[in-house]
Amino acid sequence: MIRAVLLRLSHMALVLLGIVFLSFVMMDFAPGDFLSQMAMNPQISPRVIAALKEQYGLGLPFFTQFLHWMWALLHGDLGYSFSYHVPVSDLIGQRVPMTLLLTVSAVLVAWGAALPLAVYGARRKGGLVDRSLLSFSYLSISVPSFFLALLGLLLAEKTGWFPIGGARSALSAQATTGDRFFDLLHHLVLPALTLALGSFGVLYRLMRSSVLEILAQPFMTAARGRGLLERIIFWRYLFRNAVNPLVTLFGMELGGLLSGAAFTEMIFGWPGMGRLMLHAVMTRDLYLVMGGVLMGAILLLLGNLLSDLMLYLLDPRVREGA
Amino acid sequence: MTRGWRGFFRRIGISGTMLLVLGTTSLFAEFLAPYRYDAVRFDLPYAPAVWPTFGKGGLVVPVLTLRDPVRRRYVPSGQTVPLRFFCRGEAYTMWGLVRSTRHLVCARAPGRLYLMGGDLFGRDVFSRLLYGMRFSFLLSLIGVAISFSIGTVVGLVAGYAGGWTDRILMRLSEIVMAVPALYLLMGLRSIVPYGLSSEAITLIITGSLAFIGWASLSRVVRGLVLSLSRRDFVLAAVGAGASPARIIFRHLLPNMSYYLLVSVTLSIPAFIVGEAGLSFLGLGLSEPHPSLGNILSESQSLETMNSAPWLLASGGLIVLLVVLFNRLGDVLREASEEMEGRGRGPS
Repeated sequence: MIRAVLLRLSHMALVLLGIVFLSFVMMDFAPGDFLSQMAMNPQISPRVIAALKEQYGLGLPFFTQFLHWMWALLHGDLGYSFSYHVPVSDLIGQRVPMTLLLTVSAVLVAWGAALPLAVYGARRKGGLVDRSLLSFSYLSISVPSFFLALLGLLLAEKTGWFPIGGARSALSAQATTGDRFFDLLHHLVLPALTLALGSFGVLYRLMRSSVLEILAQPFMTAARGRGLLERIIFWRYLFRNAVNPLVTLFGMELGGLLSGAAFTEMIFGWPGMGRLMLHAVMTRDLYLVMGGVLMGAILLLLGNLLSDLMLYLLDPRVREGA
Repeated sequence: MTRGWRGFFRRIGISGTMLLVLGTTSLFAEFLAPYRYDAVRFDLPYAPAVWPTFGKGGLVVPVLTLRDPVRRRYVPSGQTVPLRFFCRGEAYTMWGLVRSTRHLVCARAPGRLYLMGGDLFGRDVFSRLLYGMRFSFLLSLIGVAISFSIGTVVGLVAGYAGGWTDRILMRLSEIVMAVPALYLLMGLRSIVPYGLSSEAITLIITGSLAFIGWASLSRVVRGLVLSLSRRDFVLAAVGAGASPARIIFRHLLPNMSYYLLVSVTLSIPAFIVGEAGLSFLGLGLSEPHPSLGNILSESQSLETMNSAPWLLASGGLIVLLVVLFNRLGDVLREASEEMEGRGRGPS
């Protein structure tokens, strides 16, 4: 077991190395750099540009730049953002909590709604609830997140129930802590709901088919025949087996926590990682891009690892097989 | 199973038939659209939908006048222009081959037919949606063809060769899949300078989307190869001394063809949504060329959403296309499971 995890971790390190190399190559291939925008400004003399280029190390050959960056990374230094003039780790440290607040609450809502509803729907398969939820999940899978977010914005504007965009009201700086908290919550509801709606469909369909499969198993009939308590049948036989395929999905959701909400963040003006990254790519803020990609990729790989571990703990068949 | 055209339509279901209709419609966009995608009318910004009505001498199109340029309020001027069919209008070259000036319908200036309203420059949204839909279709089909070819070859090689080849190829696909897709797309897009021709941008968007798409497909193919390789008929072929090429082309590929068809169909929505998302961010096809994404991005501000809600129709069209492709994939999968069930039967 421990050997398997160590092997996976070493694979992960290799994949990560590949990712950072690929991203670095991509940024290098792109024409121009952060300074080319400045260089077009006639008010900035070429000497300043050259000095900055020297200072940022942008004139160095590709491999030297890459090795410098890797060396700093090994010392826990993600570099310096050109456009924000602060260390990349500070920027990411500010934005990550906001993104996590949004995505984690969305995941909680989606899972909290989809799992019970799917069990209910599967038990009354073909009923009115099941059929309407199935069509709803079809729609939920098919609506792109940016369109859903636009519709959400329209709803907020038409009804006035929710604030339009942003994460804080203008006056919230003077408000009490409690008021600030509720203000943030009020801003959170709509983006979190649109995100949750988007992932509801996949969850519902997967959990429903999984429950249906388990319900048809002979061991369920046997458990009923032995007269086990309904509660025990449900939790120990049905739920525990049915949730198995969702564990893999959980790992994927975990991986998408940082990068999956990018469109929603941009449209609702939520100050998270997605907006930061779009800005960074557009302005060619090299180290900021690298830091963001690295964080996203690490989380994705960790999610996969965690879901495999959970599967190992939950499912004796996987344990025996390993 | 019924053969011929009726059998074909039955197999692809309602969703497949609708997709065929939409695809064919968009192929003839130049003829069917009342106006070119970049035909502007600066005097009619955000004009509401104008439908033909019955009037003097058959169908006529009412002429609008802008009453309030600030709030963009329109009133009918009382004047009308006749609506004509198969008439001569703006010249176009369809598919780069057929030169013509014939349109299905026209309404001469000062009148203008807006089936779904107009945008800021008075361009006809219906016409732009037709062109945009064609762009989505073409881009996703070409993109799928590229990612499908790469994915199948990589998956076949990895699954068949095994060992180090397999390990290296699968690590490569993991790398591609582990970078958040949107970041990868933005990064790939930034390789190309801005202000390129629309053809070059189309090419780069298609290429980037295909670059992301091949990875998951190659893993699917590899899994299929691994499971098929254990089946008796493949083992028998190996035992009989068949060449790898023969095994791959005669035994492996035909047996996974239907499954591949299903997964290809189900991967098309990712291309449609991916292109729309990029264009929505302003990284995709740029004005005046229409794409479903950049039409939607025009309605990003609340002001526009209020004064011209019909621009949201492009989002609806994206949803429709995605639903139809998902449904088609499900229909094909159900059909293949039925076939498998029958194949395992008496024979």
